[in-house]
Amino acid sequence: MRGAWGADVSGEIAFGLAISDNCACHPDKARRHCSIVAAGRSGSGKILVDLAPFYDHPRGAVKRAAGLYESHSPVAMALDPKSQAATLKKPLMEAGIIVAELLVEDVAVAHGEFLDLVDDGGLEHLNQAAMTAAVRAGQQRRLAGALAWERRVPVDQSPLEAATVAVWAFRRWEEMSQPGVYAV
Amino acid sequence: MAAVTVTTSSKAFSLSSAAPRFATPATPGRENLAAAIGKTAAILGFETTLGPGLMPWQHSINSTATELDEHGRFVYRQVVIEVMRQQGKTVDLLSMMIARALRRRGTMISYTAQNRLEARKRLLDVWWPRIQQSKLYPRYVDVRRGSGSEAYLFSNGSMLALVSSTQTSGHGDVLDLGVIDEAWAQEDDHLEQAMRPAMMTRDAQLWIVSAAGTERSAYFKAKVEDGRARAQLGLTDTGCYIGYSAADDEDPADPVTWRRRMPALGITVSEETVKADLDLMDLAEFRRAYLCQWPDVAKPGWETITQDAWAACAAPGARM
Repeated sequence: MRGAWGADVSGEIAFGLAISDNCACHPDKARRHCSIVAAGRSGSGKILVDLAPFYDHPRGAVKRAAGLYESHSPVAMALDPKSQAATLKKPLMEAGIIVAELLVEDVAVAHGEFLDLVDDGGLEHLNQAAMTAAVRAGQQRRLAGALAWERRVPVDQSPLEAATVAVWAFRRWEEMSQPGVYAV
Repeated sequence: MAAVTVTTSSKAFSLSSAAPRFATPATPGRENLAAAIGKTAAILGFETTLGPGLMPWQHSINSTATELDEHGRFVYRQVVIEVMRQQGKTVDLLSMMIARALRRRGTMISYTAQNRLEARKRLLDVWWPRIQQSKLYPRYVDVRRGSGSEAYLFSNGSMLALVSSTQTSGHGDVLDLGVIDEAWAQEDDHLEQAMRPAMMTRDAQLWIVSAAGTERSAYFKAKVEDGRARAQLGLTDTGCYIGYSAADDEDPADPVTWRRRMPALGITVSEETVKADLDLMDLAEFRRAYLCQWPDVAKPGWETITQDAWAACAAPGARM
């Protein structure tokens, strides 16, 4: 991954964080990887997801996140507090990072919006191998009457989960930053 | 009680056209129980178009799996059989278990399937009526139906009982034969952990039998990977593995693949039936259940987001 990621980023971005889970066939794969995915508008106007910010062992994630927070002032740094990434919440907050946490219904919305974006051609990605592998192996699970990504599959799903969370956070910021949104 | 005789491997039936893809090699000269098991199958009324008793592939695996050493003890303490559904593995297991119970007095056998309920159904509702109609009943075997203590009780003191999938009380018991049928349903090795210590002082075997599993079939997957490695190395001690499956690159819809890989095809299973099931089933499930291909092969992916849709979103040069 590029150490100086984002030197050419010009627009607003949100980051999503996720940590790999295990599956029954590979119980040793839990927490091997943390993904920090950036989401923002590309030059085409579509939402671009990029895994380059961080894809490595979780032990280095907080330090990297703190660096990204400092260098890019993201509109959000989001994670699902009911996932493996929950362990990042406290150290991120201690590092001075405001963490956006998804509620259960947010996780379902994020999943659905991500699928819709792909279907509608509103998403862009950079053909990153880990991201594409996660998408290829992606399966869904039931979540309170809706659907979400199944984390316990043989291929690391953290890139896909982080991308989904990042897109959700970016879109919520876009909604809230529209002129007139606060008008009574 | 009728004496059960053993035969040498050379007397085993020849294989049908479908051969196992990986198999522990048979060791010429070792005696085995295949003939006794075949005879028991005939007594139980099993028959195919080839005649009464077992099919050639069943005789073949019994020949290797029950090989005896020069002291008359089982060579293989663990037997792993991987074979697709509806090929007759449960018929073989029942015949093997009954033969083993009759062979030696006081033989203790534990059997389980996906769960205790399924195992109970087989023991009482599927198998027992057949046994009841055979000449084994009532002279040689009777049944105990009490909930929680279901078992076949043999007149020589042998017993075939059920293991619960949540059993921990196996500790302290003595076991001569453990059978984990439909092992794909087990997510961990707790059943084996319960049974193996009870076999330490016995000339015992653990049989683990199943079609290929799902992403959650960690227990059987590990047994298959270990067994295939042993088979490829040609090891003929401790653990026996025999696996029928299609290779990763074989066409799952081609009848040539079926003929090459399904040992009961043309005997108890027709090509027309397989073709109909292929048309009706999800392909990944067909590949798992009918060709013993594991999810990493049977499920190529792109189930939620299609490959085309993802490729259409690729923008390698894009910048935010």
